[in-house]
Amino acid sequence: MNSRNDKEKWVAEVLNSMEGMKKAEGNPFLYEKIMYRLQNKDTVQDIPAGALLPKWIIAGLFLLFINSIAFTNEISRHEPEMHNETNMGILSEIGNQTTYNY
Amino acid sequence: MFNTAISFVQNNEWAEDIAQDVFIEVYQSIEKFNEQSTLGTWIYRITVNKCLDQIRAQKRQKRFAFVTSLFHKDTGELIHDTSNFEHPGILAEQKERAKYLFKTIERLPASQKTAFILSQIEGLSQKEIAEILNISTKAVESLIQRAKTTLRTKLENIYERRRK
Repeated sequence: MNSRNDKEKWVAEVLNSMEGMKKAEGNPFLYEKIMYRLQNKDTVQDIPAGALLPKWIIAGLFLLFINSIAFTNEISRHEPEMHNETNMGILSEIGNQTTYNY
Repeated sequence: MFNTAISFVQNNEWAEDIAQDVFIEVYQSIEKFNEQSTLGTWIYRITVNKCLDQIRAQKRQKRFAFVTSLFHKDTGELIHDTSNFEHPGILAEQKERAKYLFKTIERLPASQKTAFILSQIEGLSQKEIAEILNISTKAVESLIQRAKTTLRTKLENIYERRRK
């Protein structure tokens, strides 16, 4: 019972901790900072979307290049296995034919 | 404006940035102000939107914190940890308790948080909040009530955890 009262008292105290609160004030130089940003806004030019186009093309080509290397590597890694399978197939066929021929 | 921003984002630098952004936006788009609401309401609306944008960005950053420099290199602690935030307007004797309150406010859903801050910290009426959020007065009342209930529950949980 006592602990419940303590809990309710604490919660109420925390909820009321904003009583007598003053408004927070910003940096005294806030106005100067804003004026500086407004004045510099005219000198800083936005980059037009078109200007980024060559970068996008380069990035796209680079991705294609990376992909093609990965693809080539993957093929060359499996190539010996593919050759072996084909050779074995041919050999067994020849072998079979040889048996039948004899 | 700064007071609203700091209560939302719980970080002095971010609040200052937001205050600057709001001023600049008001200056640049004053022609768009259609006088359907008061200038104060319009500025509050811009401030709230900027604060919510900042919070969303903050959450995104937290999600990717493990790959960013949000953590101290040596201690591994969060650089922008809001859990120990102290609102500069709080009375000295209330600071310790207010820390728990702001920690809990931070975890409220965006709509409840907005209504609670505008009502309890900014001292705006339900009618004014309704105009800022573009909702009915009844809805504002409900949001504030739900915020208070959520805060109470969360604070009770904190109390229990502290006792263990």
